[in-house]
Amino acid sequence: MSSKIDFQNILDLLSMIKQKDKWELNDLIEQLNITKKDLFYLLNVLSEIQSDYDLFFDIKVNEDNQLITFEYSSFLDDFQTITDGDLFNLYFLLKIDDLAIEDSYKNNVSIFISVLDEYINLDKLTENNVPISELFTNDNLFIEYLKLGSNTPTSYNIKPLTLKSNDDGVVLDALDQESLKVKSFVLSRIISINETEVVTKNISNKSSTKVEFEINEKYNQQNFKQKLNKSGNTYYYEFYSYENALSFAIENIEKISLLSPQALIKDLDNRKQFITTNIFS
Amino acid sequence: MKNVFKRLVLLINLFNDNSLTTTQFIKDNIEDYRNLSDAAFRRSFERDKSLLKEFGYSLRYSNDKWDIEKGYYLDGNFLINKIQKKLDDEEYQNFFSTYIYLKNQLKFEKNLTINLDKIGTINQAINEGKRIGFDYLNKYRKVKPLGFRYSYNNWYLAAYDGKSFKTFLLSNVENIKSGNIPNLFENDVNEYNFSWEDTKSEFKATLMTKSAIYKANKNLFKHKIVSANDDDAYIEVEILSDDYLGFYKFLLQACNDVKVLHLSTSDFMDKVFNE
Repeated sequence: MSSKIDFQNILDLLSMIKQKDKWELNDLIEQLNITKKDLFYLLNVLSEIQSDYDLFFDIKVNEDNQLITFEYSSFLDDFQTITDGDLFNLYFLLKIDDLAIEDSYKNNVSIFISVLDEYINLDKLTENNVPISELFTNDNLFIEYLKLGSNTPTSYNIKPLTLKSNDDGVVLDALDQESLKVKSFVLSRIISINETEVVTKNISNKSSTKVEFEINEKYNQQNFKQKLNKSGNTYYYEFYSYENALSFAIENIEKISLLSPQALIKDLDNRKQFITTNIFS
Repeated sequence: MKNVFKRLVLLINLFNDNSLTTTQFIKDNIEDYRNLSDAAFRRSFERDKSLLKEFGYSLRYSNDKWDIEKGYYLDGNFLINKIQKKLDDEEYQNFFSTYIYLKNQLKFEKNLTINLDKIGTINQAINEGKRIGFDYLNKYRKVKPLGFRYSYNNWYLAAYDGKSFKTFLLSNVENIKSGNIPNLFENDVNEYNFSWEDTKSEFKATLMTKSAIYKANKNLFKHKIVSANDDDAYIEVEILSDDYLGFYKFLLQACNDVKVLHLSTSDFMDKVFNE
């Protein structure tokens, strides 16, 4: 069994069986997005479920014609495998974006949304630069991304993995094909998706930046997303890049007084000066 | 792990008929629990409950003083049960296939929308016209919930607190309990204003910037778009806001990539740090 197998895979398999009781092996593997080995592990789990010696499933695998047949007791008819969470997540994604849906599914998706409209009252004020579903059309994509704190796009060659959310909003976890590290990309900061490489000048300052500051009177450590470090009366936090440090300094401008680094203090002062003289003069 | 998977399926199966289930019944009917001491059973059961919760199933204990029956019930399938009852077989089959199609198209984690347990409980109360009670910033509130809004990376609950319309930041809502009496109110509020939208100290501004910069940084300040002209490369947007400090942060971030074409207030900078 691979480490990515969890109870959700069992629920997904039960959903498939509820849909029809005869499946082509490869079709089932594709729908569940798992390996053949993992599928056989899941089948093995199901085949052992019993209550007072009554087995819940009788599973026949025909290797010759690659067919799997499921016979099951009546329990599955009442067993709900789709949770409110699943539907809420889907509805949320459908609402925050115009998905690039295949033509053959457009009508069904629109009916799907209208059915859920009756049960979920969700308003949104979020708009992305790119349709979410385009992120999963290919395992090898090139994106242009505005890093936190930067107004100049950086290009990445990625393998998209999954969507999740954190303090910055909805993010895409993806494998950076260059560094072979999993990175998180805030959806609203992805500005284009391409299947071929986009020539973008990557001018990001990747050196880590340690920011020292004092917290202003009205605030305390709980007012920050980051887990801050303290040395005497001074707080500090080490950022992955200069851009992240700048983004932190701007987002928390009312809460902190910067002590170092000087380059960041100067950059922020220049920006304040620019706004005062060019925008509000 | 195999035994855990089997036990979780058996646990969910125990609640298929929607009746309340006692702790003893659960222990007697799941083989893995049967031979455990009471303390070991409790520990194992609590672990399984937490795991189920991670996957969207909540085992809750009903202890209503007016009810004779007490015991556990399973929460988490409210929507699909409702939908299954409403649609005919063919419609449901289509709904189900679309669900499978979308799940394969969009890969997301279970925690995509924050704290599904909270949202699930509140959403069910909205649909059933029930009141909910919860702790909010150290104060107990009893409200009629209306709907949700996802805005500026935060989830909000819109609700009537008595006769006042209020919004609550969901991350501050704790210990939610749903009332027992259904149909207390009609929820036909499809459009509701949020508290920051009713503000009187608004300013109006017209900005010109690169579309990508606006979209990537617009969550820095709370605002309403009055009009927008977006040609994908550049956007000219007219906004209404009372978030002086947030707008200042947006300008600091966008800096020389943004032009403010119009601003309705002349004392903007005075208000930035006096909010």
